[in-house]
Formats: sequence, C-alpha cells, structure tokens
Amino acid sequence: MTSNAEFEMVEGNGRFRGFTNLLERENQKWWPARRALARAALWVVLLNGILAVSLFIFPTLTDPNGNSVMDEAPIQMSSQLFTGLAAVGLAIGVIVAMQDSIIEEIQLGTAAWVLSKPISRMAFVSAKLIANVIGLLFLMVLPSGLAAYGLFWLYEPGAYTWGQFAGMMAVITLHAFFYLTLALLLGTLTTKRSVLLAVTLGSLLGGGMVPVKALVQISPWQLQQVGLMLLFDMPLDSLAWTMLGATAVWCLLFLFAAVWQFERAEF
Amino acid sequence: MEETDTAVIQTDGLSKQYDRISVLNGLNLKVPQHSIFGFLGPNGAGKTTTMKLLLGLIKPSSGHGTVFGYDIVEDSLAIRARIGYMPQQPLFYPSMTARETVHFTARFFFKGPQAKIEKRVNEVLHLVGLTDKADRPIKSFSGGERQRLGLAQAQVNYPDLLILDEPAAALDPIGRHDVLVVMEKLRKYATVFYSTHILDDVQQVSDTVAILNEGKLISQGPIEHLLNGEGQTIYTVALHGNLAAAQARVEKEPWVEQIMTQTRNGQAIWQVAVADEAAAEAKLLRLLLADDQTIVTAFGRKKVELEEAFMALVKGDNHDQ
Repeated sequence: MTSNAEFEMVEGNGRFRGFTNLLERENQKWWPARRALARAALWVVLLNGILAVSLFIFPTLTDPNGNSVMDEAPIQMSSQLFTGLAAVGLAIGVIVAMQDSIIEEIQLGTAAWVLSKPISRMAFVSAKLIANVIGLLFLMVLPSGLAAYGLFWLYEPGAYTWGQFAGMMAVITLHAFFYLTLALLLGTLTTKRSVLLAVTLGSLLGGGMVPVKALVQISPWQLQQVGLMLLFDMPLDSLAWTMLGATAVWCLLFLFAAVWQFERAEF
Repeated sequence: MEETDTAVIQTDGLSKQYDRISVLNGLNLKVPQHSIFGFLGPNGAGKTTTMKLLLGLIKPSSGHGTVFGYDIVEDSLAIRARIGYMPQQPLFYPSMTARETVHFTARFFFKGPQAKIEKRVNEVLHLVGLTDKADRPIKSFSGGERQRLGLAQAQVNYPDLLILDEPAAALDPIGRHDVLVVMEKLRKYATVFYSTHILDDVQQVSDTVAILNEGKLISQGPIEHLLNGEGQTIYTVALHGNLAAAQARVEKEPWVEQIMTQTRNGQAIWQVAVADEAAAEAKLLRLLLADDQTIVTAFGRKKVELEEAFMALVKGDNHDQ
C-alpha cells in the first residue's frame, strides 16, 4: 500500500472546489460525439425544416383562384415563424434537459454520494448550469441559427445582416436562459418533476395570455417580439429594453436563489 | 486546527430533528484513532443520520461535533478531503463503468500524475475483486457488485477515516469475509467507522462499539467490555456427580448471588452469578472440586454473545422508556 505522498493533491477549500471534475462529468451527457451530432441535427431539422417549407414551398402554393396562400411576404412570415418556433422550441429543450439535472440526482442518491466528496455545493450547481449553457449554445442555438441564416440567405441574399440575425438569436437565447435558470432553481426547491414542468411550461405556454400588462413588461413572455424588432432592424423602445433587462435580472435572481437554496439543502 | 491525539470523531450533544421529531438525541460519541468502530442499532436508530451529520450532508439541530478536530458544520470540506464514505445501498451514475466511477472519485482528491491515478484506480478495483468487471457499465451490476464498488471508491484517496454505512449488507458470505479482511488491513492506516446489522462481523473485527437506539446512545466502549456483560459476572460450569453437596458448598459463600441449573447430555450446566469476581476466580473451582464425588468437565467465565448483549441493551432501553 502506498500513500497520498506520490500524488499531486487537489487543495484549497474554495467555493469552486471540484468544479472541473463535475463539469467534465456533466459535459459527458451532452458531448459523446455521436450523441452531440444527433442532438445538433435534431434541432436543425426541427427548427429549419419548417423554415425551409415556409420559405420555399408555401410561396408556390395557390388557392383554386390562382392566388398565393400566403398573406404576407414569405420572408416576413417565415421570420416570425422561425423566431416563435425557436423561442418556444429552445425553451422546451432546456426545460427537458434541466428537469432531471438535479431532481434525478437527489432522487437516485447520487447527489448525496458526490457531495460526500470534497466539493463545494456551489461547484455542483455551477457545473450543472455551465454544462447545460454550453450544450444549449453549441448544440441547439448555434447549428440551428447558422442553418436558418443560410436558408434566409438562399432565399434572398442580404435579406438580413449578420448583426440583425445575431441580435434576434441572442434575444431567443436569453429567453431560453430564463427557463434554464428557472428550471435549475425549481430543481433545488422540489423533487417533483410535475411541479417543475407545470411551472416552467405554464409560464412558457400560458404567460402570453396573462392580462396584467405590468407583469408582461417585466417578464420574457413577449421577447419574441423584441427579437423580431432586432431582426427587422427596428429601434428598440423602452418597453423592449425593460423586458430584456428584467429577463436578465430574473436569470441572475434564479441563479443566486438556486445556489442559496442548494447550499442549505439536506441530503 | 489541531487533530486530537485519541479521538478522530467526537460529538457533544449532537441532535437532529425533522419537523419536531427527534431522530438523534444528544449523541456523545468518541471514536478512537485506528479503531474499527462498529456502530450498531436497530433500523431507524439514527446511524445513517449520524454519518450524514459527520459528512455535512445534513446540519445538526443542536450540539456539535468534530472530525480530526475540525468542526462538522464550519469545516466540512476539510473533513471530506480526508474521508472515504460508502453510502448504504450505494448508487452511482448508471451509465459509467466501475473504472470511470473510481476515476471520477479519485479526481476530487488527486490532480495527477495521471499514470499514478490510473494505477491507484486499478489497485482498489483489484482489492475489492472487480478487476474483470471494471469496464462494464454499473447499470448491469448486482447489489453485491455495487457494494464492492462502493468500498473501492471509498478508499481510493487513502482516507484517514472510512465511514461505511452497512458495508456488507448486500454481500454473500465470501464478499462479507473479503470486506472484513479489507477493514482489518486498513486499520494500520485509517480509522474505520461503520454501521451494520451483522453482529457476527462486528464481533470478528471491531475493537470498539457503540449501540444506538431510537436516537440515543445506550452503550459505548471496547467490545470486550460489552461481551463480558455489564454489571454481573457469570461463570459457566459443566459437572456431574454429587451435585447437591457441591451446590450447598457454593451457595454458602457470600459472593455467590445465584445458581441457575439446567441439564444437558446427562450432566448439569450451572450458571453461577457472582458479586465478587476476584473471590470467585480464587475459590469457585476449588469449592466445586472439594470432594471426590463431583466431577467438573468444563469451567469458565461466561462470554456474552454480541447479539445477546445487543438485544439485552436495546430491550432494556425500550423497557426504561
């Protein structure tokens, strides 16, 4: 039997102790090559398949009188369709990815096992967050965004500048971050997946129907409109800025609350 | 903080309540260094709760505790850096292999060198007999194999203290024996604090035990003390011949409290309870052999089986409440 003397030890009692190892483990859920490719391809097909149909097939369809079935210019309608679909689709994607992230570990008992090792709880939560953010950005947002830009370019080169398109995608990503951090927080508050799904999907699918204007202004429920304003190169009004700022603040609040709650949780 | 010389774990009035229900009540525990400390008690006695408190997985409602002299609430990270823990019914990431699991655990302690880490991973897998299953995903493991893996990952960091929650519960007799051998080997390097229901194992390897019942410590000390019985000393004698005369001689002595007799295979078995151990040791056998007509075939101080002592203590405690 040898001893620890021959090893280079992990030292320190910092708030991120164990983070690298945990992040590596979390990344393995997203990044085995075949799985990553399949995920990226799925999101590209899901979001861009409908966009392609809307850009290249719908405009060719006519009613019995020979009029086009599309009321608006194909590029405008397709832009609205893609923005709406991407906002809802990516949000559902991160909710599904996050719903098991903490709850499953607590239920299985693996969280208690991992937390019995010299790691900080903040590192545990941060690793979950960062791995899912990386997965969201590189396997969901980036491939489908690039493919969508390519389709718009094919339809009408120069229809949108890189800046306009990236601005819209950034807003959609912020929208997805809101649901990612909300799901993370709920994962630390409850062990019931049904509660997590009810709250997040309720907000995502039912938020737009909330009749209280003040609440809508400080929520992400109308962010698709802000994304479209950027895509159509329209100046953002104060309401748009309020929505963006409020959503960013919500994300930070959810994140701090998740860490605070997890630090106090018992396993 | 300074490490205490004698006690690796020390708790003082450690208590835990959930919704006003007490699951651990004023625990005062002292686990000596390099001991194999058996932590016994019926289901729900508070054993796992105590272990989770020591690991910082839950926080005490009152009281405090130290491990290596570090406070279990304030210095939990420093404590966990020197501990190996195996949970009850260990559950790991099902898609990982045994090797990946131990490697993942090792990386919380060691940064490198990579080759040494790999060597250590192989070493502990070999120690628990999982070498040939090292690259199989854990989801295909039996309960016993998971338990072996639990033991492997718990010792990968050469811990100063191993906390094992029911380490042999799911193992067959060979597996149980292997675990006991590993624990015995580790004694030189580490303190082993483990809970179990298998009292035979405790009797084989433990040097110190504590018995917990309904959240309260009812006995703690060297196992020999527990096995010798608390309070009363009893001698067991097997004899035949002139029993009446022998009994009369013995009963006359003021230090003899009671003689319980039974017959087995044609000879009498006496349980002689004595108040003065020294007097009994010096005189009891001589008194029995004082005449030629009494033949003694066996004589010795009665050793209490751990199970007997355990049952007596737990039942006695339940009766007192």
